[in-house]
Amino acid sequence: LPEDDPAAMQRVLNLQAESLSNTQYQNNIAALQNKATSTYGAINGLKTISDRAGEIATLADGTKSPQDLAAYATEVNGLIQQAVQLANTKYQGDYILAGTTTGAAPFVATTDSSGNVTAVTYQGNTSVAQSEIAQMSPPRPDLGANTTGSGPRGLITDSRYGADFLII
Amino acid sequence: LIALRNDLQAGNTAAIAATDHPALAKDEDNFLFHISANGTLQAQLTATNNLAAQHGNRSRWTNFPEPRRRHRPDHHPAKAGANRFTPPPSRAVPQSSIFPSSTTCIDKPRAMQEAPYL
Repeated sequence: LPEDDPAAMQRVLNLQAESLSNTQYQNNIAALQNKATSTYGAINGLKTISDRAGEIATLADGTKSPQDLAAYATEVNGLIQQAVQLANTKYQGDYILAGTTTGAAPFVATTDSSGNVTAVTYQGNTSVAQSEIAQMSPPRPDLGANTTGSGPRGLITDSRYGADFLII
Repeated sequence: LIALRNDLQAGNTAAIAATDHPALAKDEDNFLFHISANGTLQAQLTATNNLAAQHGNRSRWTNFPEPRRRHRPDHHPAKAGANRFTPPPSRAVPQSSIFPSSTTCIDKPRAMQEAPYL
């Protein structure tokens, strides 16, 4: 009975509470791991697009014909659309790069009558959800980035570093 | 990307070389930074998860207090065999001072087995 050994009972209760919080931390970690994996997939896809765009920028020198350049332009237009799709990647129904406004697509492309993307606007915010993963440890942002306050947008466009991949 | 596409459509290769290509290099750096930050986060999460799992296992299996055994008067020290506890002769504790009649019994509490000099 608990009253037979109150000290032992107190220790049991403490351990039960510790076990519960430990389980919650592990759940937080699992959720963050899944989200980080999704984020990695999106960034990696954007990096692949960036690589191809860099190749095209290198290939498109003065020796190429106007037809070649037009073909490259068509390909880059497709890359822009792919990049917008990747930037709007969802995880469990939420847009991972939308900040805390996860209900609407954060990156919105404007196209002209020819189907060319003329502008991309960001409609998310710069807040980043955070989760505690251990006692006495600061909460971790659920993205592998944005420690400098640029928010999820900074993964793609960050004027401080001259990065303007999608948004002009 | 949009500027690159526009310059390609306009055939402006000079602008591509002077402006778009360096801008794409900065974009690539930005992506690499965030990919590495993502990898760091995942490593932190994995390490923390491993620590939490270890800590959880310890809490479940080894942190609970040892249940107290009752002294059994019929358990004679001579039957205890190799596990019998015998205090060192030079620092033997008088039986009456701590645990009367059972200082040589195997069934004494664990704390006394581990601290015979008390």
